[in-house]
Order: sequence, then structure tokens, then C-alpha cells
Amino acid sequence: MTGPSSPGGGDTAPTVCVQPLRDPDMSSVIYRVSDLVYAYGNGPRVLDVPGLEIERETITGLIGPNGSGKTTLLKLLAFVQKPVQGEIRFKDRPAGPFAEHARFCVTFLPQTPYLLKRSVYKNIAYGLKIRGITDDLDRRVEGALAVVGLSAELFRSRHPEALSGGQAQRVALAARLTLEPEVLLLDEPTANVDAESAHLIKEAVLAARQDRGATVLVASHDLQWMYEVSDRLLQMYRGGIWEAGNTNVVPGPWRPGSDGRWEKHLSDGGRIRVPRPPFPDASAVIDFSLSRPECGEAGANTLLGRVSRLILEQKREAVAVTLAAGHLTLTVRASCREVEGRGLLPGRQVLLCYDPDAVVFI
Amino acid sequence: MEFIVSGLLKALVLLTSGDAETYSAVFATLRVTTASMAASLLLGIPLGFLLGHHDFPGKRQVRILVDTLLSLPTVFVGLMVYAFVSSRGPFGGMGLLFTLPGIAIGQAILALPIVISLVATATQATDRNLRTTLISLGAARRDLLLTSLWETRHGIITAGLVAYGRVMTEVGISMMVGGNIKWHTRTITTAIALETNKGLFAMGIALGLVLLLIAFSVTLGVTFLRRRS
Amino acid sequence: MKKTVALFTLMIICGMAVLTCGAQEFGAPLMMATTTSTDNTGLLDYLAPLFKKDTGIELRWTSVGTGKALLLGQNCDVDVLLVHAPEAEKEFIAAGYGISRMEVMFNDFILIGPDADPAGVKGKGVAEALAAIMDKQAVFASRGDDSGTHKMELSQWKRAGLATPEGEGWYLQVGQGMLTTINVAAERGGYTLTDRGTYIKYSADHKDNPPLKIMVEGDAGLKNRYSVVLLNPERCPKINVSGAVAFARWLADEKGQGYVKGFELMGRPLFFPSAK
Repeated sequence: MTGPSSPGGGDTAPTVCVQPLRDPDMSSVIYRVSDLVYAYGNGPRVLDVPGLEIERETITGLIGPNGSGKTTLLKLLAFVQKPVQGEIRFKDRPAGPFAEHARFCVTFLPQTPYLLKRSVYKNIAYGLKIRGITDDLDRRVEGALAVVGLSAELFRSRHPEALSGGQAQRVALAARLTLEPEVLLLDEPTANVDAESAHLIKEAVLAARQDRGATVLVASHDLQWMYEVSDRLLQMYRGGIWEAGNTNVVPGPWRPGSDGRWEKHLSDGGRIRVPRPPFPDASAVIDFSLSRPECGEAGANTLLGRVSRLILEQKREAVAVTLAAGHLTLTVRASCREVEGRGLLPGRQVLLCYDPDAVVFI
Repeated sequence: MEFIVSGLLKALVLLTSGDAETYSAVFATLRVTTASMAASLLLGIPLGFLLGHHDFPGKRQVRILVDTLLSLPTVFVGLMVYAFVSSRGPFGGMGLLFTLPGIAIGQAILALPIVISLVATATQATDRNLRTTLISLGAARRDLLLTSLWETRHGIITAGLVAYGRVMTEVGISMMVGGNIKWHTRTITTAIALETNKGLFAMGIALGLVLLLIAFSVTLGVTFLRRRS
Repeated sequence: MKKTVALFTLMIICGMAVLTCGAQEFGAPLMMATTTSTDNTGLLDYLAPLFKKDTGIELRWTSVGTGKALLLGQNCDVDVLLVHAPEAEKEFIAAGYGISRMEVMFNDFILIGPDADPAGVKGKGVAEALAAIMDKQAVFASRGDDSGTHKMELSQWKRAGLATPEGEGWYLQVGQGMLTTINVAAERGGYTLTDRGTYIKYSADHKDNPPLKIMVEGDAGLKNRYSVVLLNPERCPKINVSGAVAFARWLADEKGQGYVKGFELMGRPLFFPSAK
């Protein structure tokens, strides 16, 4: 890692990211978030996370629709913004924008990165210069460009206007990777780029973790990649965050149904039953699972779905099974054995079950 | 109409023959505009940056005020400055009336709103992502400020050019505060006014062309600087 | 390289700004307020170096309208006045702003107009001429700026027993200097009242064949008197009193008066010395 290690970490302004010595008692949690809230002005909360921990040297994937709060969460963890409420602890100390113990350890790649109005070389060297690293700049810049697959001779003197979208994204990533950060946060790094750039970016991100033990948080719509690369997958919806497993969000509207429950009618005739929602358009967070004998009698809390996609989550030896139920898309996890055993194939009709009383509204 | 052509010829003659009166006016113009531009840029750039960058209560009102001052009539500014630097005024003892520094002060007042407004606009137009990017690369507050300023440099240069144009061509302040005194506070613009009032239009045109020549050289120089950055 | 250029430019800028601040003079200069008519004739350009040679004092002047010249004197922004508005000067002194006025030279006013002479005023007396102009509604350009010339013009309408043609379409109130007013009259083929000095200069500029010719002259009431007005040192403690007095004395002396007489354009004197 970069820089000298200084046990105890002094109070003098660091010029590099201080790495405490590896120590078995050292906490493996690099981020600890509590009661984190963000909202714009007096508007509704765009982020509401009661608790979250990120472990060192892991790749955490963030999935969810646009507006679910992924960018906000990343920006807060990058200390680019201050939360409206709550606390983020970085390496066990509270941290915020310009925090000295976090400033040089965390980098963030926004969805549309801004390249400074100067050459590619100077853009990549900027972060190094701030850290006071002025030796070997040529080698570092060349190395950074190589990692993202750009030729140093061709690109070092180019200006941002002369770069394609994908090339600009790669340069931005190179500028961050060259800083050998402890934490790398990325917001949709492969959206809006050409296939070759996307591929190189993914490789570089993986290498950051493999070779330098960086902690990575990535938000992406590329579900294939998310499932492949993540040690842990989190899904977000309207500011809330859950482990991606069997949790699904079912939006309203809900209608009053029989026996005191409310229900949603699906286009294929199926129904989902829930307790009374706070308002008819509320979204319900429901845990679905492939039906088992324990689910109870068929009809009351089961739902018929049709398998549409199966994706292997390599790291966890599990399969994400996506099903269509009417117009809804639901995802559940199953072990490889289960998939084989139940004969889950795209097109198959499968029964899912859920517990209406365990439904939470957001 | 013929005075335009004879004006052109006269301009060449004036410049090449080293006509003392003309060169005196040229140097007076250069000295006073350089001083007033230096002052207005030194004050205006930081103020404009602050106005564009930060949010504070009353920001919109301040912006409206600054934009209104873009239309300050030069004679009005001249009158106001005269009121202050006249013998009877609060700054009467400083001997600023009928001097080039006096004119420079008035011109700085004229240029300041231009610089502030245009720099503020350029600052606001800068991508919001700039701040995010800089922080994400480890910038401290000071780095953020300096780098943001440098990124906005094209807007700042434009602000300077526009202000310079206004200041170089104004007559009201130079006349009121300077007094159009030959060899001392006669600038090109007051000289043009004088010659035109005397009915010597060709001379007026000639001097006007000299002014344009200066403006052209300055713009050329600035454009060269712009290219190199 | 870029940094050197930038530094160099910065130094030039600072240098210029500094230069602006300090020109050294030897002997305090004399600041005078005078009128555009006086200045436009070129008299002061002619007198200033002579004054410097004889007394070592540098004469500086700003030429503005008579009203403004008097105001500058009132505000103690100048050291001395050279104007040609006897009534206003007397009021100025009566009000305590000035302590004395000394008549140094005069010329006269003349009525000029186009060759075509639409109102038929040539050779007439002033009062008759103005009456004819009003009758025929011929274009007349007035200074309209409260200057000495303007005051003279207004007094002539009064003398002729006519109401000032305020608001009439043919009466153009130019509000600017004498030469500009003459040019407006020439443009519109009309008449105007001007001092002879300015007319001679105007004539010279047009190579002795100007569009407007002298129509009426020699009338007793058309005398244009120039005076040096000394400001009240008690009201204006900071002014260059010795310089002002020196100037007044110099111009009134035989030598100065000789200079005035010697100032000619196209072989004609513009001013007539009249100091007693």
C-alpha cells in the first residue's frame, strides 16, 4: 500500500493514506453507518439507512432502479456530501467531507466524470500532486493508462474534448487507480461506454481488489456483472437498502380484499395479499421463497411465477432466479442443487410463497 | 462622408509621425485603463467566484443588484466620483480630481459589476461534477478553490475582455473626473469628443481608429494567452 | 515559459499602475477652469507655453460650459477662472465665491447665417434681425447651455422685445459647445449667434470659405468680455493663490496683453486686449 505506516496515526496532516499495520485485532469493518439520512431541502428522504457495515477488501454491488438512492449513498460514503442526519464511521472514526483520515484513502468515480481542462497526463497527475507525490510521475501515469488499456504515447497529451465517452471514463478511472486507494467507489462505471471500454473498466476494478486489496463498492445496472463480481449484493429502493436475497419490492396500488387483508391484482389473475397499507400507493417489501411444505395451504400466500432468467452468483455458489408474475419481476435465490432438483428452467411455472404478516411498507 | 476616408489616412499619419498629442492621449488611455482593470479584476474575480459558488440568504437579490449595475451610465459614475473627490467632497484632500488615478477609480467602479457578474455566471456554469471529482481525488478546501478558479479561466478571461472594452471606450468618467486636460488627462476618448465638438470629424475618426488598434492588440494578446492554456 | 510571460505581464501592469500615481512637477501647476469657446480658439494652447516661459508656472485647464466653470470655482476644484459672463461673474463675487474679476480682453458676438439668407437679415441691426428670424420662423441654433454666449443670446431676444422662442420648432437648443452649435446651424441652413473668435477659427478650418457667413455685426450690445476671476482664498484655503494672482497680473500686464493682441488666425486677431 502507499505511504509509511504510523501506528496510532498522528494528528499532523497526512500526505498519504495511512495504513495501520495488519493486526488480527484490527476491525475488518471499514465503514460503519448508523441512522444515515439524506434529503434535499425540505423534501422527502432520498436515503434512509438505519445501519450498514462494509468489510475491508470486499466488492459490494449496489443494484436498484434509478432514483433509489445508490448515487446518494456512494457520495456520502465518498465524503463528497454531508448527510442530513446520522453518522458514518470510517476505520472506526467518525468522518465527513475533508476528513483528514479519509481524504486520501477514498476515491469516487461519478457516473459522468468531469475531466479537468488540461491534458490527460495532467488529469491523472492531479491527485498525485495533491498528495505531494512528484517522483516518477511519468511511470505512474503510463502505468495507470496501461491498466485501463490506453496507450500512453497516443493519449498523454490529449485534451478532454478529443476523447470519446468511453475513453474519458477510462481516463477518469485511471486517475483514481493511480492513487492506489484503499476504497474505490464507482457509480455506474460501465453505463454509456462502448463494449471495449466496459470490459477494460471491469478488469481494472477487479485488479484493484485482487492486487491491492482495495475495498470496492459498485453501483451498476449491469446485473450480469454484479452477480459475477460481487462478494455481497445490496439492493436499494426509494432510499432503503436490503441484502439482495429473496427480498422484493412490490409497488402499489392496493385494494381492499377479503378477510381484512388488502391485495394487488396481477395481470395473469394472481393476487398478492398484504395487511392494510398506510396509503393505497405504498410499496411493500416482501420476502418470497420457492415453495416448501412449510408455506401453508396453497392459495392464501402463494403466487405463481414463470422463470425468466437464471444467473450464477459465482462467489456465493448460488443462483439468482428471476421470475415473471403477471407484470411483476421477482427475484429469489436458490442453491445450484435446488435449481437442478426442482428442474428450474426458463419458461417453467413455479410456485412462490410469502408470509403476509411479515410484509413491511415503505 | 469624406471625413471617414480622410480620417483613415490621418490615423496613419498620426501614428507614424509620432504626433506628440496623439501619443500622449494613447499613453494616458493605456495607463488609466490598465490601472482600473487591475483593480476591478483583483476585486471582482474573487467576489464573482463567491457569488457564483456559494449559496447564501439574499443571493438572488445580490445578483439582481450586480446585474442592474451593468447598466451604470458613465456620466452618472463620473458625477458620483466627482462628488466624492471634489474639493468639497469627503475625499477632496487626496488630490484625485483632474488626475488619471481619479479616472481609474471611476472606471474601476464601472468595470467591477461586469467582472463580478460574468465571473459568477462562469462559475455557476462549471459542472457540478467538478466539486465531486476534486473531492474524490483528495482535494482539500484550498485545492478546491484554486482548481475551480483555474477551470473557470476562460470565463474569467471573457469577463476581463468585456470589462476592458467598456472601460477603454467610456467618455463620461474621463471627462467629468479627468477634465480632459491636455498632456495630463486627455485620453483618446476625450480627445475624440473634443475634436468632434470642434467639428473636426476626420480627426475624431483618426483617433477612433487608433483606439480600435489598441483594442485589437490587446484582444490578440489575450487570445494568444488563451490558446496556450 | 508561460509563467515567465505571466510574471512579466504582471510587472508591466504594476509598473503602469505605479506610474499613474506619481508625476513629479516643479513649481505647483495652476489649474484653471475656462469655457469651451475660449479653449476652442486655441488661445490657451498659445498662451500656456508663454506663461511658463515668463513665470515658470505650468498652466493646466479644463474647458467646460460657463455654468460648470463657475461651479468648479465654487467647489474650489480649480485655482482660477477665465470666463466671459459678466453678470454671472458679478453674482459669483457677490455670493462670496470670488474676490475679484479683472477684464482682460474682449471680442464681439456676430450673427451668422447661410448665403441664402432666408430671413433677409443681412446688414440689419440685431433686434431687427431676430424679429425677422422669428417672423419667418427661420432655423436658429442656440447654445442652450447657460454659457456666456447663451446668456448673451437670451439678452438679445429680450432687448428686441421678443419672448424667448422656447419650444418653437425652428429654435434648436443644442446644449453643446460653440463649434458644435455652428455646425448644427450650418447643417440645417440656419442662423446662430457666435463670438468672433470662434467664427474666425471655424472659418479657418473651412479654408476661409465656411457655409455660414457674417450677417450682422458691430451692434453695440454685442460685446463679449473675458475676465479672470480670482477665487476667495478664505473659502478655498487649498488653492494655488499665488499662481492665480500671477496669472491675472501676467495677462493684464503689457506683455500679456501684447500676446493676446498677437494671437491671430488667417491674419486676423481673435481677441482685443482690454485690461486697464
